[in-house]
Amino acid sequence: MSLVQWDWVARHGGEIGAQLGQHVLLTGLALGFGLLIAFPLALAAVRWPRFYGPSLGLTGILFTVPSLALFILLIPFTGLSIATSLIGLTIYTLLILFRNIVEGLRGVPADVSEAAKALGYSRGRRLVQVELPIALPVIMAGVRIAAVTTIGMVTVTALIGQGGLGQLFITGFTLHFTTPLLVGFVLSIALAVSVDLLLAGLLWWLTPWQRGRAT
Amino acid sequence: MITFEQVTKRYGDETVAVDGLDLTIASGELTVLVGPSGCGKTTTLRMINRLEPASTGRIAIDDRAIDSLDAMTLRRGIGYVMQHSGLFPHRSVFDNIATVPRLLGWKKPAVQERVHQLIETVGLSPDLATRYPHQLSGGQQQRVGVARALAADPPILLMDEPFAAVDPIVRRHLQYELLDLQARLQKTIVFVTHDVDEAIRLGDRIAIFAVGGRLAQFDTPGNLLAAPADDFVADFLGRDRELKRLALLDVRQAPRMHAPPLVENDRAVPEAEEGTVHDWVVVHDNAGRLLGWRHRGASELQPFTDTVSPTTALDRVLAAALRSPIGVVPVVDDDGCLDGLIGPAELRRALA
Repeated sequence: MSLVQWDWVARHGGEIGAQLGQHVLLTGLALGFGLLIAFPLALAAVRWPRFYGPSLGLTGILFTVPSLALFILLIPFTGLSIATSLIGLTIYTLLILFRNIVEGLRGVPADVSEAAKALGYSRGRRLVQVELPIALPVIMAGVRIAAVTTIGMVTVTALIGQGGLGQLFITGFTLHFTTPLLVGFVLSIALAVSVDLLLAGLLWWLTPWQRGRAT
Repeated sequence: MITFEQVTKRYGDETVAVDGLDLTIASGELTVLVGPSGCGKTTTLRMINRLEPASTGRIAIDDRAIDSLDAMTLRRGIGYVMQHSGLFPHRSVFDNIATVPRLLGWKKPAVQERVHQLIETVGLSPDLATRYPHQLSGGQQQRVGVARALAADPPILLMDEPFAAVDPIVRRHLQYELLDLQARLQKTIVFVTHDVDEAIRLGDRIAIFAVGGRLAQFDTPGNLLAAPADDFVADFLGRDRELKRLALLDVRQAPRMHAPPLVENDRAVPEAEEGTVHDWVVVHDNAGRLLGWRHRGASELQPFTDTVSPTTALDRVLAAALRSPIGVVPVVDDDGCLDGLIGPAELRRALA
């Protein structure tokens, strides 16, 4: 008996595709919501430094809660729904995203911000046209870590009925059958690697000034 | 014209950065604010475009209070150059220079034309337009900074120690380029530096600030050096004040040696040599062109290693006189004719 039964893979192709799709969707949504929440928090923390410590503490504590425990804690409120897994996944992205956005914005050289101000930029335009582009490499580094972490974490949500490719692990374990395990394993790694490369490529495309420069 | 009336800037309750400043900066002049660190010169500059709000007092540009304008409108109308250029690292040279015109909503062709014109104005090579700031030398970055500040043709240019971070040779170049630019553009420039030599080299007028934000003296470089108002100013200008004054004057402003021992070349008249108290004579031909000098009574003619022209600065004349074996230097005019001799005594009279 070979390690992978290709006929099983062929028969369940549609299912596997759907699970991969859900995996991507959950990851994307978690990152999207994570950015939506982390962004204003980070802006506030840069503007009012006193706000930084508590925000970092809170997101840090949330990050340390074991993932399974967090999902179980959420079940009484949101049940075995996609909301439960999304809330959990989003919470785990917050610390990384928050910290990197703050670090990125703080890393904008003071004289550059000052020059933008002196040339007559409004606060909003300065943020969008000067500070964010310069902070982008650091922010993107955070997004990449958060994306890869989330892709791994999504499989855990299979235990509460979601989980994308995680479902393949459940199937494999229940049936004592290695093929779905291996398929899930290979696909989630491939997904993590390709998303990471994609984001790296996106950064390269968005930051022409960084090319050919030692980082 | 920029006017400060009783302007004070306090930080918190105790620190006074600028104290009751009254100052009128004339249009079309290059005014230097100079002083030791902590004297409020940079704060004064930054109050003009409201990067720092004044605590009390009134600041006006052409009699219009700067508070009557929206801060962004005010700043877009005032060029600003800072020490480390403050260029946007994520934008090409072209886009950096185009910043203010784009903020002002200029049309694309107008922006394009203006940027290319400015690249030339500040002496940059056109093929640098697509480079990013980190690909430029320090001197080139400062030139881009100046171009960016001039982009929307503002009547006022604020410069905060713009040349402090470049090496001395490049700094000299940039200083001369700025003077050259100013001769053509006639902007109202306010220039902050802690370097008194830079202040003297560049300023039409110099405001010397003392620690505590007090304006110690405000005058032309020549007047400051000739008559410092107090010990602080004298001390700040340095013990070589006279040398600095010499640097501001040229040969046209100096007297010539009285009754110089001159003789016409080989047809030397011994009587002329007899009458002189010096042990040397300067020799010229019958058209008045300088030939050299020789010891009195000797026949061997020696060439001068240094001659000066009517436009030579007097500090260089002094250096040449010190080098000269006879202690004076011949002035040679544009036609090659000898126009008298200058030595230390004449330089002293020029300063009197």
